[in-house]
Amino acid sequence: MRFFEVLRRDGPARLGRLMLDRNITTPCILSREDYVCAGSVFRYRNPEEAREATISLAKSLKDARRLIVLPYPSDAAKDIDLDIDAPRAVVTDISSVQKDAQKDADVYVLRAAGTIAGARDLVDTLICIRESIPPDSALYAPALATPSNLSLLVYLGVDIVDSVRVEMDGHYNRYHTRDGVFRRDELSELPCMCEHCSSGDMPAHNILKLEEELVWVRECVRSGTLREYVERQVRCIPWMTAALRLADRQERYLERRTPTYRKSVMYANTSESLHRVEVRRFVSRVLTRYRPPESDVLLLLPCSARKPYSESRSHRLFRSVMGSMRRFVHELILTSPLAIVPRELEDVYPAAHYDTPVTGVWDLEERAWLMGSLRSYLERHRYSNIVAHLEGELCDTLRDGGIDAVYTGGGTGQEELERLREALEFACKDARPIGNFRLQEFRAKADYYFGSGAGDVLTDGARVKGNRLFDSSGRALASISSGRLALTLEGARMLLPLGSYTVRIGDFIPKGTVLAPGVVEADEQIRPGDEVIVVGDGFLGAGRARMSGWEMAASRRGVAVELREGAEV
Amino acid sequence: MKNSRSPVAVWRGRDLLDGRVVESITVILRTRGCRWNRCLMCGYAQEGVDASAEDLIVQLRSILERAEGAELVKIYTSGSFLDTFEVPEAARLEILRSLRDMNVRRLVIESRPEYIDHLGLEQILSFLDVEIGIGLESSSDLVREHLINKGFTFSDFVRASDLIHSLGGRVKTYLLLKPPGLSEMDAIVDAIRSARDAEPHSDIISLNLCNVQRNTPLERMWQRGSYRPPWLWSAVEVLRESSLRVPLICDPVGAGAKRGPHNCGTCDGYVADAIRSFSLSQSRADLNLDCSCRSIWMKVLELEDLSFGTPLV
Repeated sequence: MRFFEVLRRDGPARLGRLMLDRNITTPCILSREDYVCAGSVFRYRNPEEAREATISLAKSLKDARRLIVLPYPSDAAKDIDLDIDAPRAVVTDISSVQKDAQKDADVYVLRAAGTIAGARDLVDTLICIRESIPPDSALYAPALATPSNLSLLVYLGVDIVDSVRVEMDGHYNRYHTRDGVFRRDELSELPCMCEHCSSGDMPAHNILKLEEELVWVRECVRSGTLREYVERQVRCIPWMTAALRLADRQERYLERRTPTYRKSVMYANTSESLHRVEVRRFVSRVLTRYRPPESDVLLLLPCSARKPYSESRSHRLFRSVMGSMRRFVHELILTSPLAIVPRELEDVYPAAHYDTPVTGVWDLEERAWLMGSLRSYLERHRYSNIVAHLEGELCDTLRDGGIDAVYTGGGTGQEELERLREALEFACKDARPIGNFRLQEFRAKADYYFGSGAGDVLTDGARVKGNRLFDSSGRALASISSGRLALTLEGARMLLPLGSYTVRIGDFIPKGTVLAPGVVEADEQIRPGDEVIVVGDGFLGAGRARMSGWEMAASRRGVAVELREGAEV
Repeated sequence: MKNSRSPVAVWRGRDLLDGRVVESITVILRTRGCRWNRCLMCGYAQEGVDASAEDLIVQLRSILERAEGAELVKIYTSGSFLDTFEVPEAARLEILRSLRDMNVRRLVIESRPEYIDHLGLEQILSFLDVEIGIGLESSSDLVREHLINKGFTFSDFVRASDLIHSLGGRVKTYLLLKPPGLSEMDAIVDAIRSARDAEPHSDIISLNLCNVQRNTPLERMWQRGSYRPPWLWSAVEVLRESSLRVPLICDPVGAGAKRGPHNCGTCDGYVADAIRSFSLSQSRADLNLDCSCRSIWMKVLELEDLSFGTPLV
C-alpha cells in the first residue's frame, strides 16, 4: 500500500496527496503532529534499540495514521526497516540515496537539507535525490524553506517542507518576507499588518508568511504558472536567480517533467524565459519533426500580440492582401522566444499561449536564437523565393544575418501592404500550389505531436470537414481543438504501427482512466498532456497522458492516462 | 617554528586533587603525534615533529623550573604517552625519574587503550601515583565509530581501565560533548549517558567541549554550516544533570570563540567561569545561571529535533 500520490505536474513541481489521518495536499508544510520519529540512531546504544523504539512508536499510534520516519542515518542504522503497512519515510542524502531508494518509502527526507548552501549545491542536490528516488514518492526538505525560496524549492521538485527554519530565525530576530530575510532592527517599519507583527511575535509572523507563500505556490502549480512565478521570485536574491539558470542547464531533468500543454498564458518576461523547456522543445520539434509542405515561396511575417496570430488585425490584413496567392505561399512567423512558428502550428502550445514584452528591440541573445533557428530551418527546407515582410530591428537582424529574401519593409499601412502584394505576386509566378491548408494543418500537427511521418500516415487520402479528419471511406480519424490533436480509435489504429506515443497495458479493460500500476510499458517520449495510444491484449484506446512515459513505468500510484476513446478489440 | 626541543605549551593552573584544590602544571610535549590520528575533530597531530627521546628529555627539563610547587603534573603529548613510538622508553624513564625527585603528588598522562599494558603500567606506577586519561569520548560504540572514528570500543576502554585499577592506578575519562553529527539535544543526552556509563570505570571524568580545529574533517563540516560547536548551556546541563559519585570536571577551552563552545556572545565569559568554578567545587549551586539566550538555546533543543541534521544557527 502506498500513501502518496501525485495528482498534477508542472515541470518538476507536483501537486500531490499524502494520505495520513488528514489528507494533506502537497506541496505542504509538514507539522510535527503528522509524523513520528525515534530520532537519529545515535540516540540509541545500537541499531536494534533504535528499531525497537521505532516499532513501539508505531504501535503506540494504534489506528492513527501518521508518517513513520525510520532511524537515520542509514550508514549507521544499517538496514533498519519495519514490516508494517503504514506510511514510511526514509532519511537519505546524496551519498546513500542509491541504496535508500530501494527501500520504497512514501516520503524521502533529505538529511541536513538546511545546510544546503548556494545555487549549485541546491540544484545538484535536489536533482540528484529526485532522480534517484521513485517518482511516486514525496521529497521532504527539512529546515530549508523560507517564504522567499519556497517557490524555487517546489519548482525544483520538493514536495514537503516545514516551518523549522523560519521559526528558529524568528527567535534569532530574523524577519522573513517573500522578498527575503532581514534583521528586525534594519527595518524602520514592518511591511506586514499581521497580528503577530503588532504583538512582536516574530516566529509566528515568519510561519504565517511561509504558509501564505505555500498557498500561492500550490495555486501556481494548479494553474500551470509556477515557472512564471519562479522567474519573478528568484529576482529577490542573486543566488536564487543563479539556481534557476543552473537548473535550466539540467535540460534532461526539466524536459522529462515538463508538460506539453498548459491552459495558462506562458509569460516570456525574462532572459531565463528563452531557456524554458517549452521554448527549446517547440523549436526542436519544428526543426526535427515538422515537415513543411512542398512549396516554392516562403513568407516571413512578424508575430502579433493576439494569439493565435491569424486572429490578430495585422495577420487578417496580411491574409486579405494574399488573397488567392495563399495557396502558393508557406508562412513562417518570426518571434521571440519561439523563433520560428509555421502557420500550421500557430495554435499549438505554447505558440498560441505566450506573451512577451514587445519593444521592437531585439537583444543579442534573442537575435542569436532566432537566427540560429531560422538558418537551421532554411538548411533543411529550400524555397526558390523568400519574402520577408518585416520591419525594424527584426528586419535588420535577418538582413545583417545574410538571409536572402525580398525585404518589403513590413508594416500594415496601405502602401506597405501594397508592397507586400507586389512582392508576393512576383514570387508566386510559376510557383507550385501547396494544397489544402486544413489538411496541411493535420499533417503538420500529427508530425509535431507523434514524430516525423505520422502526418503522412494519417492524412494520406484523407479529407477535412470542419475541425475533423476523415479517411477515404468517411471514418473519422482525428480532430483538432485548441491546437491539440485528438485521435479516434481509427486514427489510433493507423498510428499504432509507428510505435511511438504508445502505452502498453496489462490484460484488462480500462474504464475512463489507466492507472500507473496497469502500465506494462510506455514510450519514453511521452510527457504530461500528450495524446497517447493505449494498447492492451484486447484493448485499444486513445487519451491524454497525465504523467511522463518513464514515470508511468516507474510508478505504482496515480493516473497515467485519461482515456477519451477505448474499445475491446 | 616547530621546535623539537621545546614543548607545544605549558601552563600553570589549579585542579582538584582528592577533594582539595591544588596547584598544577600542564605540559604538552611535542612528539611525533598520535599514531591513530584519524579522529574527525582532532588536529593535534599537526603539532607533531620527529622528536627523539633526547628531545623529549630536553623539553621536560626546560619546564622543570616552572613546575616548582605543583602538586599535580599533567604531561600530555597530543597522543599517547604510553605509545613508545611517541615517547621512547628512555624518555619515559627519565621523565618519571625527574618528577619523582620533585615533590609531585600525582602525574596525569594520557593514552589510547591499546598502549596500556601490564608491564608499562607497573613500570610507571613504581615511580609515583599516576592517573591515566583515556579519550573515551562517548560510551556509545555507534557514536565513537561513526561520528568520531576513534577506532576502539567501549569494552577496550573497560579492559584498559580494569587493568589500571588492578595495578593501583587511577583512570581519568575524557568525554566529548557534541561530536559532529549530533543535534544539540542528542549531544547532551549522549554525554550524560556516557558519564553514567563511564562512572564505574573512572576516578574522574572530564567533559571536553568540542571545538573546531584547523585542517580537520570537522572544520570542513563547520565551514559548510553542518556543525555548530556546543552551546555552553549544554555543558552546564550535562554537568548539572549527570549527578555522579566521581568528580565531573570541564575546562571550557576556547569558550566564546566561533570555533569553540559558545552561547550568545554576551554571557560566554560568565558561563565559562561558572563551569570552571564548578569543576573545582563540584557544587551545582555554581551553575545557577541565566541569560536571555537561554530560552533560544531551549528552542534550539526543541527544533533541532525536527531539522534532521541541520544545526539551527
